[in-house]
Amino acid sequence: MQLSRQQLFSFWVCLGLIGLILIDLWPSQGNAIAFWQSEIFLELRLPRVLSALIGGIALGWSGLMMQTLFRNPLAGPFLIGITPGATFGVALTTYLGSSLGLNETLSHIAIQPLAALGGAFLVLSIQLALHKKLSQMHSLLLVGLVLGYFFGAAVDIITQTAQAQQVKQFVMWGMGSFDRVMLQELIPISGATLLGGLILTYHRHAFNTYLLGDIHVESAGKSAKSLRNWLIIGSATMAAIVTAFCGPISFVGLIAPHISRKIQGTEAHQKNIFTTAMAGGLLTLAADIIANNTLENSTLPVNAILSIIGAPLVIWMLARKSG
Amino acid sequence: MTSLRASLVFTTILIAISMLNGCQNAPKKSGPNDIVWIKNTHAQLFRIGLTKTDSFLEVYDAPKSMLSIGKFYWGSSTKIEGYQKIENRDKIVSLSAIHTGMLAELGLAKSIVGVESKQYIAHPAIYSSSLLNSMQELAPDGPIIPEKLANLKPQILIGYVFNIQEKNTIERIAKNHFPVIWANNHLEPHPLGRAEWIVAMGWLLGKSKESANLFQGISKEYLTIAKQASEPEHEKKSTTGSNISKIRPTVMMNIPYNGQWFVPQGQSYMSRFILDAGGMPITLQPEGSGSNMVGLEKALQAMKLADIWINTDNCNTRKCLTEMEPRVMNIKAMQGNRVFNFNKKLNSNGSNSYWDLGCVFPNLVLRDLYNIIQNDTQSMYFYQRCN
Repeated sequence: MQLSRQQLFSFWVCLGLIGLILIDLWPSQGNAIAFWQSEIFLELRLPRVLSALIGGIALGWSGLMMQTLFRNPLAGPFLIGITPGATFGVALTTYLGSSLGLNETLSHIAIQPLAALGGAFLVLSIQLALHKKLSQMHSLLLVGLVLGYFFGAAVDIITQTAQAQQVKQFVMWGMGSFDRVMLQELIPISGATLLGGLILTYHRHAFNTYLLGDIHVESAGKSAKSLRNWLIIGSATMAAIVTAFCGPISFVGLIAPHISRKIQGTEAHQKNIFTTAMAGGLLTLAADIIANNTLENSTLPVNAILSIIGAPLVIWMLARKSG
Repeated sequence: MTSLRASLVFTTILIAISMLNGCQNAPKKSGPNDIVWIKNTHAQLFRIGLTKTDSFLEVYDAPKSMLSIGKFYWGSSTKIEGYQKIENRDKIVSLSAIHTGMLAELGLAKSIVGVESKQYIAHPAIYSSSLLNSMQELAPDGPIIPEKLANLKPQILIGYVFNIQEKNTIERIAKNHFPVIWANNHLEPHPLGRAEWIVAMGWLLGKSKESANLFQGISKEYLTIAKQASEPEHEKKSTTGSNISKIRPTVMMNIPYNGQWFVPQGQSYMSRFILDAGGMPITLQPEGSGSNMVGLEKALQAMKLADIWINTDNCNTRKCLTEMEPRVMNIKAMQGNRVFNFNKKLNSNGSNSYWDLGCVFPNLVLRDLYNIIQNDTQSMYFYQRCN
């Protein structure tokens, strides 16, 4: 049996992912069996690794859906402005939570994700409304940039009135970390990922047609509006929930679908669903390993590591595209 | 000939480097030759000097670099090269609650015309009097408002700011109008070093004797407690009570913020306190005076067996701590109900005396910590148990 180039690449990505999971689960010192039975492993390491893996998959799929939605390979939760929108929602709940007397656990588990979701849907609705009027590819990114500035400014204004502890909480949240995720919080993250995965799988062929334009969708007897709604629900839910629990995680949503397309050599969704998930998980796990193992006595911010990896990759992608 | 010239150049460079190095680690000799410099006991970032006619104050940026950030004099001389003359000291702007607390402790609260923010002022002499209303707030919600400072026309400004642009703005306003004394006492590594700045304030503002006496008392009590804590009979006893164990109770500090924990380093201000109080601070890095930002896993791995947990920031109950991060529940200190916070002197507006008086009176902080470590928590000043 001979494997095709795509299958071989997919195999290596899978193998890499399994390797990274094992590395991330391995104790930094001492006996592995004893560590895997310890509270530290069950309460901290396992949720961290699982949230990095599932978060990476969710962000990868969210990016894939956004790139389909806008028919733009440069779309991603960060560049489109979804993450800044979700950040605004989290800032509001962080700063107003204690003033309104909200329970901290309830705020963390329910209100914060809902606020992030609200911010994400708001941005996506603005983007979509403008997208119909601004047909050029770069307009989308410019609007994303402007929305990013707008929500950033709004967060700055809220920060001015906040207490020192709230500012600390928010700044730490903004650095992105899988460390803070608890085992039970994996339920909403997995739920959102499952929802996105189901939408992607169910509509995979329709999304391929959508990429060709609305006319093709209508001629195939489907509703372009309905497909758009599914893409919005899926992409915004995944990005917002991951952002609410893990903080803003940049570049994964943008890069993972590109890695997948490079491997598969096609834009067909049925081929890219699996490899996008693998690439997303690979990126976040790698960042988590670097964050936790580079310095012995410190933990680096995951978001900073992904930005250092992601920024040159995006520049390279843009250079290749324009070249 | 060439080799001789080369070796001469090399030697000159070597001498220059060693001189520069020397300058970095010790205050540079300056001013009139007859200045007698008074030796500090713990503070590194200022020095006070005297001649027959004048008094001198020099301030430095940080213990490692020791760069001069201000040279001042007051007295009968009309001009001294390299020093800025301080004429009047009746209208003071204080940009930090710590310095405001020091001034209040010296009985100079009435001279303070402007503060950074009233929200942070907790000193009883100001907080519970009408003085607070008479002070101008120069930076109530953020950076300093330049117009407010200029209109206030202070005679002297004392404080520190973290933002370099803000620092430049203040210096621009102050130029040719009033002296600015950047008092970096928060960078002093030893608690008594921070407190000793009250002596500098006293000299500067005409309360030299009072400040010296005050500091002497503080220092004496601090060192007495530290000596007591280091004596073997005060070390932790074993469960049978018969054998004296050398093991000191381990003390963890701070709280996590969204999965990140700032763990103080071994030579930090708080670690020094704990060591002097007879405890063993839990740190991830024995050297260094800052802190390590670590994820929860690394932090909890180091802290799960901590006997005592202190400085829980805005969390004053164990319920608050578990609501914020449920995984701290299994820490030994939580199980043993030995969690303490410095919120006993918290005012209704949110200001806390720990931040100003705690710096001026490290003996009170040390006494509290000593009592916590000795499990005698009946009469504490700043700290109380988180129930």
